[in-house]
Amino acid sequence: MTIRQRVQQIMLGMIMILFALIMIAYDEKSYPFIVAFYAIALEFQGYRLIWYYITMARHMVGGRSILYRGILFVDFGVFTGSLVFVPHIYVLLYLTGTLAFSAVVDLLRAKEAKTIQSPWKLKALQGTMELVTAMICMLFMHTPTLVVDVCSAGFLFSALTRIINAFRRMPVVTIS
Amino acid sequence: MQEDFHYYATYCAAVLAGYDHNDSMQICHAAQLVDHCSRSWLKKIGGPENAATTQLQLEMMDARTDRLGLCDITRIWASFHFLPGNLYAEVTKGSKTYKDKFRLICRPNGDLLVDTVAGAKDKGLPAAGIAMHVLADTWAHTYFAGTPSLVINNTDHHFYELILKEDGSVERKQIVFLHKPSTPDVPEKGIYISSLYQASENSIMNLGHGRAGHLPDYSYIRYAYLPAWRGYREIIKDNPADYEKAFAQMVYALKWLREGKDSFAADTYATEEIREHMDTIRQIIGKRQADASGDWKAFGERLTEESIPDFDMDAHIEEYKKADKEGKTGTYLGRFMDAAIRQKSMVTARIMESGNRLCGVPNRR
Repeated sequence: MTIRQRVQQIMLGMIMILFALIMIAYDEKSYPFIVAFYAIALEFQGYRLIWYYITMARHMVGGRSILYRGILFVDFGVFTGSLVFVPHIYVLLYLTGTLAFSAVVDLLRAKEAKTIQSPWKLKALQGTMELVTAMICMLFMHTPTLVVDVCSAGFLFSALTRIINAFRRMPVVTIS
Repeated sequence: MQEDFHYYATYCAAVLAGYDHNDSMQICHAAQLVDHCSRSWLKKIGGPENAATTQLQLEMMDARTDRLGLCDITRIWASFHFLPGNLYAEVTKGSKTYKDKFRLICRPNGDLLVDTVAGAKDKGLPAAGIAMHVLADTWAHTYFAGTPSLVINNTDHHFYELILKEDGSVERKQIVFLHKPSTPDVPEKGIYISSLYQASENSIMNLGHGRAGHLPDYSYIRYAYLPAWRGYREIIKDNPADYEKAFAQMVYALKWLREGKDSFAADTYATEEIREHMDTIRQIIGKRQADASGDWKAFGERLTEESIPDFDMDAHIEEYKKADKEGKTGTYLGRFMDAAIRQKSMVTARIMESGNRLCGVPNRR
């Protein structure tokens, strides 16, 4: 992980903590703000990846996956932005869904890391916690205050593991 | 390449080029020191930090990869370990940054190699050792660039070891890399370690051949893979053939440095000088082992009937530390550092002159 990536991860973690705190403090009133911010971040990341594809990665073996990721990010960003104007229950459902999706991705990454004997336990723990949080949110969907608190706790946990991960050093193969 | 080739094989090449035991020791020590002369080590001995010829794992993990940080990394790795093959290579696709990175791909027998060897002429034995390290690495590190780049240095699952069968056929065995850098490779079991895939273009994981693990460093292996930069066209890397050429070219280059009068010629090999030892050399190069030091050492000792001590990176520190400020340049390490700075300045300047911006401004003294 480069220093820039570390800073990005730490900032992302801190923003997630901020989201969690805002959600706890303002409950459902905080949704539009969070959703708008989330949408902008996703779109920014998507356009960044598409630009990288156009200028560099389109000439690389396997580079098209970077384009697809970019398009997906933009697509998710636009979709997220459209949720500002829908009833809060759908917003909550969406946030829970993204948490569950993130959990699945983390668990798959942990599985892949284990296969190549790379560190995987923290990633697996993160994925499991996110999945549990998403499931509790689903179960208590009709008790918004409780769901908001659980969802906030999930965000807090996710943010902390992201920050811890940013401080871990990834070993490099020595080149001689 | 590793200590087996940079230290022991370089010793053998120096002897075959006509140097005596002591001079050969100085040459091969300098060749191997290139892999150890980091900023941390230079700080420890009080040497100039811009003489660094490598970066330690710990230094790399903390390395900056902003514009200035990338220039610093590229100067070191392109100058000593991944000498660019053609700074003016025709690249018809991609942005300026893509073209700049593409032109840093390491290949043997480029103009920079001629400049490297010619630059070591009459500059002493440590300079010759550094030039031999650079030369040898152009054969091992071919097709990778000495700058962090996903679009150039990445490899994917299409990676096969080519095993020659007794009936002449070739078996393809897929290599699955593990990411456990603290663990050594086990060639007997086909277990190899590589850097983890990082989608970030400038991640340090994408420097040089990190994604292909240590495979380029093993003389015995033949493999086929898809380099990121070659548009889905497979490359077959025949290390035994390349290492043989590297050795023969080292003998030619060292002989030229010792007694050559005409200009140094690329793509020239001292095949005659090594002919009588060819079977031994091929046997060592082709033997399936992660470290061929023992075999090269035995070969070297047979050549001179002298004992070759193990490599000790701190061997000349006392002489350097005891010398006064003016006297330091005359010491073995002083001459090594001068040669390293000259090499880095030369390569950086050539890269800059080509319009490539990845190396920043050359260090001149």
